[in-house]
Amino acid sequence: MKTHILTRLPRQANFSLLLLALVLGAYSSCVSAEKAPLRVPLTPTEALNLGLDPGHDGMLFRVVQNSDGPISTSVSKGQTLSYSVSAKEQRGVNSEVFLQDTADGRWCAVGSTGFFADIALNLPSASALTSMRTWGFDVSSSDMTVSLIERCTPNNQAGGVITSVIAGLTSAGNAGNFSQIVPIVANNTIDNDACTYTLRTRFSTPGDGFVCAGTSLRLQKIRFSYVP
Amino acid sequence: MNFASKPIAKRPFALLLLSIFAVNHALADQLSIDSRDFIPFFGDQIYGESSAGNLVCVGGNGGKLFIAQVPLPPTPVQLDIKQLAVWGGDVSNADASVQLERFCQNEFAASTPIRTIISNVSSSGSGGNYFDANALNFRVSDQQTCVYMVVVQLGLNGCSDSTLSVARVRVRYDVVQAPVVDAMFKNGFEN
Repeated sequence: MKTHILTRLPRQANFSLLLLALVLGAYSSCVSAEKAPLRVPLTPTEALNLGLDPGHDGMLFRVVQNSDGPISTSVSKGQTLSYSVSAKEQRGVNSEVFLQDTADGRWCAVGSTGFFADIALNLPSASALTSMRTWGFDVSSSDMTVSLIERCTPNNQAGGVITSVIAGLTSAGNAGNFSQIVPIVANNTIDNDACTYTLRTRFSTPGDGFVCAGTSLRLQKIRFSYVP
Repeated sequence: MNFASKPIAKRPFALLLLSIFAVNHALADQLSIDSRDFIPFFGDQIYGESSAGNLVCVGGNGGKLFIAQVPLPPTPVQLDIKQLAVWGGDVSNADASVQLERFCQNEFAASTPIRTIISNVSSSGSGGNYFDANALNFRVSDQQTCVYMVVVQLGLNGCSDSTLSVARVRVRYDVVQAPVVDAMFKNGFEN
């Protein structure tokens, strides 16, 4: 007669397995609760300011980042790695974006009629982003915004693209070289199976009378900290 | 019962598990290439984004070829590419085609790049959002001499404008790991 494997284990082992299952279950529910990001729909203005089509209704979100989140507090010193991307990797969002660069950074020429430029972010699956830092040059009355954008599709089936803005940084002031940082604690796990990640830069303040601020607004580098 | 007190040789189930891990241990992983990673094949091509943010070509007579590098893990990591998949939008009579290619040259000498087409997948139908994939088994162990690229073609006869787009391309692979014969003597400090 066949005997189920559990019935052949000693009573203590059964109890241990039950305890293990309970602990794992509690842990997974805690993790999922911690990781649940707060996504809010983009307003039409926010979408336009990022070069996204507000008509793509119901598919555009931004992630609310809370600096008191669980990831930033649980990461010990020495656990994080850095990954830098050069602004020279940028590609215009369309062929109407005229990008130029020098050693001092990459900028969008004044004659451009396209606002945005993108850089691909390739990090290992399951990495957890913890911060984004930008370096640039700003002597303009206009400001530059860098946004980390996630685009996901259903896994292994056709479906619409769900776009989420995970983090953003806007240059402040006009004193020249600048560096800024923003913590990333929500929706910060890289999922290369279902999503892609790009860095979108806008080289002017929305509402300014020009598309690109030219050489007075330059992007130099973007660096991510992450836990592999 | 003290599990640690029993020799592993007398635990067939543990031995079976160990042998599975040791003999056929492969780590599945993947990478995705966003539509925004692609650059025009020719410098004067007109391109843009669809309302969903996907890559589209612009102008009926414009170029329709775009290319992006596949950032595979570097050597000495060996991989078995298992799947090429594509997502996008298709309400066109034409189809979007994605081709995985490699270009190889001599490691330490001048040579003409040799192009190999590894896999190809196309959008099917014209019902809107599409997903298509092609299964393959292609060993990659030549990252020091080859670069891997994905070429997208939006339409067969000229550009299909916003009726045909690519959202992302995914390459799934298994990382090939050498069998662990004896961890004690394969730790990099012995022999």
